[in-house]
Amino acid sequence: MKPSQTANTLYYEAADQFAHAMQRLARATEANAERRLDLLQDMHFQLWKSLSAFDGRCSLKTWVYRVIHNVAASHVDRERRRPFEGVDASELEQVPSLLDLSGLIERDDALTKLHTWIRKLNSTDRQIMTLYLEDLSAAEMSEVTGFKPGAIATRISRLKSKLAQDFKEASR
Amino acid sequence: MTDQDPLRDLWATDQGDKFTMSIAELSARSDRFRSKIKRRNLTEYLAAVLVIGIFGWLAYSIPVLSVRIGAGLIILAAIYISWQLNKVASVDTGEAPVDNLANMHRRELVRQRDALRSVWRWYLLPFVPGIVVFTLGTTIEAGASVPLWAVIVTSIVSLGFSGAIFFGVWAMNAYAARKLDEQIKELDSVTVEG
Repeated sequence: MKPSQTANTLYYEAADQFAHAMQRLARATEANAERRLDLLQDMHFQLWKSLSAFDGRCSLKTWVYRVIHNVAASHVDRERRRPFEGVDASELEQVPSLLDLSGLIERDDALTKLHTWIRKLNSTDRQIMTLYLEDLSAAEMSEVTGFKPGAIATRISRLKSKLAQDFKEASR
Repeated sequence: MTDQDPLRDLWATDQGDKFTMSIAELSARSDRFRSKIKRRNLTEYLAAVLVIGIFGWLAYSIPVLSVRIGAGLIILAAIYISWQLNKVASVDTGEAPVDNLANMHRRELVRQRDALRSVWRWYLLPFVPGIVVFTLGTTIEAGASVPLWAVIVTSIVSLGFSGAIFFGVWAMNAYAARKLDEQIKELDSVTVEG
């Protein structure tokens, strides 16, 4: 069944509003450029397909984040079965301190390292971390993930400590 | 949790050119997606076709009734299992993933766990009648000129070997199902609905 005209309009609205969030999630999920583009297209496709069923019981924002994070999680599951092609583990070792983000190069470098770090997390931690970075509130994150707000807060605190420690060790 | 965090600031700087897709591009992807599902289903049936080919040929070339009945039962089991595989173990339902992440993840874990737990019923048991009849048939036929005790011992060894393989497959699947059950319990402890 093809999505309706309303779904098409909603898709354009959602795609325009969340295009960058989708791109950021794709970057934090897939390192390979070709497969990243495929993932991004799949996010858009699943979002478009899903919007026929959108009934307004949750916000469009929650709906979009649910769909794109589920697509990303399925992508990671599929990729796990693919023969390992190797990620440059030395990338983290060259990372500048996140606290010293004075220049553009350093910032891009830090972003690349942050993506690499996020890709190494397990599925749940990766979802929570990226939602946190997207500036969602605790209630919104709970609605997207289904996890209790307390459990989310605990995980974020643990993840931030781990991130600080990993980057500190890498910059030594 | 809305306090300003330098990490969030860094994250927000990641903008780049906005990527969107036209409805025509999305429709084309939808067609490709449907073709992919059809190809996947076809691949799942190929294993059954292989089993049917081998045992069909055996039934044709060995003119012994018990062997033919055994081969026929194995062919029926292969057809039943490929149907079950398609029904029970299919990963992609084609449904859009609109539920929350924990529910989606839980449903997938439960689906996999239940498929693994019931593997003896829908994957192993259907093969048992065919394998027993086929093994006994070939053993008795091959041992027409040897003493009865030798036929009985050979039959027990052959069936024991098949039984050991079946037990191994069941044990591995039961272990994997227990691991998934642990993950489900862990997930339930942190979810809103858990």
